[in-house]
Formats: sequence, structure tokens, C-alpha cells
Amino acid sequence: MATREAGKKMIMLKSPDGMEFEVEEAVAMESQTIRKMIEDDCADTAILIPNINSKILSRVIEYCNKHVPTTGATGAAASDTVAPAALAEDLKIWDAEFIKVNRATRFDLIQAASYLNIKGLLDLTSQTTIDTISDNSLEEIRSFLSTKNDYLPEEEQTIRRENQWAFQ
Amino acid sequence: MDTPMPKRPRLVLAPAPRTIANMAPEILLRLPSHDPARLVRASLVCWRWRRLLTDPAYLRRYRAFHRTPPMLGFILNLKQHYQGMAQLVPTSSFCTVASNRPGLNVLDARHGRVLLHTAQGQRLVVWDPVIGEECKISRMPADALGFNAAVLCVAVGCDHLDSHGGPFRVTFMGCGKRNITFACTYSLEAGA
Repeated sequence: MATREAGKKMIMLKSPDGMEFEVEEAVAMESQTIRKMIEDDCADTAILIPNINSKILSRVIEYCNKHVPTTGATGAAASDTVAPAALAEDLKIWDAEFIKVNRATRFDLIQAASYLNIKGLLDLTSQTTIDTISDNSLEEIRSFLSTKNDYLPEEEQTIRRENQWAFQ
Repeated sequence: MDTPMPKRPRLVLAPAPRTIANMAPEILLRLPSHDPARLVRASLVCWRWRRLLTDPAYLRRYRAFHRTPPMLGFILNLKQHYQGMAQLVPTSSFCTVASNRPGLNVLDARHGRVLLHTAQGQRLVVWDPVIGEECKISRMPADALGFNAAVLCVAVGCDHLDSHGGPFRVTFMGCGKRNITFACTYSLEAGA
């Protein structure tokens, strides 16, 4: 949980399971959804975030905390945050460690990133998922994503026949 | 009123409950564009994914996400056939069934189409290797001694990234007998 620092505006984020997270406004504004709310003048209030439990919300905040200085999301920060290559490399390594989570947590993070509209986190979580499943068989992908095969056998055969090049 | 009302905590509007299946558009957007075979294979996971991956609006979003269109292959003229042969050489996982076009040579390629011609230039063919369609140009200037031609997409407002099956034109420029230079255009819609 963030601690209050002099001169930095803080925002309270609340999860539906009753946890409260005090974060810097700049960190919270990594979420475009929250940014819009703050810009629409509700900066002094706590923000209840439904559908994201405290465990996932704390991970999301952790991500935003790490990424806020280098994204240059605000006009003021953009001018002095040209990230050196070493810093970018450090972030990449950090991201790789951050995303080492189980499947359920990753899916929760995708959903959280999507509706809080945090592009970097959405890219990271979705890309990792695609990388994970891209070399898997169709059955493995279906199992991984809990999706059912609703093709009739003849439909599947037709698509395979018409696109043989993709299955070689 | 003297005492201001305390502000109520603001609530982020809750979206409809999401499942991981609903997140497929976000996840599939990251399929690499240089490997179209993965797109086809992903479309076999379930009908929902197939509908998504063949939806023109989603494909526009996919292309916008990946920005630079991938290079799927290049076409070159080979001498292996006595009248020459155009061959599509894939540089990606995409590979059309009929990648060899014996008796035809490449004249031009643009907007997803390839303009081929016979060795003596009596016949022009417009070939779309992605969807495997070809269109023979029915009327050719008969007495061109030397010529060149180009194929262009003419769909209104098209960004030429997915103009398959749409209207196109072939412009033809040649030199006829008595040193007369001429130009003409073939329009698919008009058929002439």
C-alpha cells in the first residue's frame, strides 16, 4: 500500500472485498478509466472498483507503481522521462517476473487491465497468453481457455481442407 | 446549507461480468501478423473464434493494432517453363495452393493483386494469391509492339490492405505500329 508523500496527491482505491489502497494519483491515472474519473472531478473521493478483488487490485497497483515513472502518461512527466535503454530493459525483466503467475491470476489480470484500461498491462498479459498457447494443439488451447469445441467433425474437416497450408 | 454534504465514494461503472472467453478479442489481437497460419489454426478452436477472426471489423482492428502489414511472400519469374513461369515464394507461413503459374510472367503487383502476362503478351491475367482468384482480361490491344501495364484497386475509400474481391483496373500503355503510343484502361466492373 502506498504511503502519503509530501506534495503528492493521493487517491483511495477500494476493492469489493473491503480493502483500501491509497495510491499516488499519478499511479492511479495509469488506468485510463480512473484517469477519466479524476479528470471529471472526483479526485477527492475514494473510488470503488467492482469486480477486482484485493489480491488482483494489489497486483495491478504494483504494476502501475513500477511503470508510472517511465510511461510519460502525463504531459508534465513526458518531457523528463525519456527512458534510457537500460531502464527499459530493467522493466522488461521486471515484467517477465511479474507475469509468472498461474493461469487464473493471469486471466483475472487481463480482465482487470481491460476494464481499468491499462494498455501496458493488457499488452503484457494478453501477449503472454498468446505466447503460451501458440504452440499448443487445438485441444490444449481449448482446455487452457476452458472453451468447448462446437464444430461438427465435417465442418472442421472442411476448414482444414480449404486451408491445408496452415496445418502443414 | 452550512454543512456540506460529504462526497460519496465514486464507483467505477461495473461492466457486464466477463469471462475469459469474452476476453478473446484482446488476446487474439496479439496473434503475430507475420504468421497467418496461426490465425487459421486459432479459428478452429471454436465457432466464436472463427466468427471473430473472419469479421471484417475485427480484422480492421487487427491490422490497425499491427500497423505495418506483413510481407507474405514475393513473386518472381522463372525460366523453367518454356514460356516462363511466375512463382510465389512465401516468406511467411502463408502458402497458396497454386503458387506456380506456368506460361505466365509477372508484370506488376499492387494492392494484393498480381498482373501476369503470357510470354508474347497476348493475354493478361489478374491473380489474387490470397483468395486464389484470377480474372482474365478479355480485351487486349491486338497490335502492341511493346507495352507495360499496372493493376490498381479502385474501391472507394479503400486502404488497400484488404481489397480482395473488390473492383480493380488495369492500365495498359503500349507502342503500336507506325510508332503510335497509346494507353487504355480495363475496368473490372465494365468488363472492358
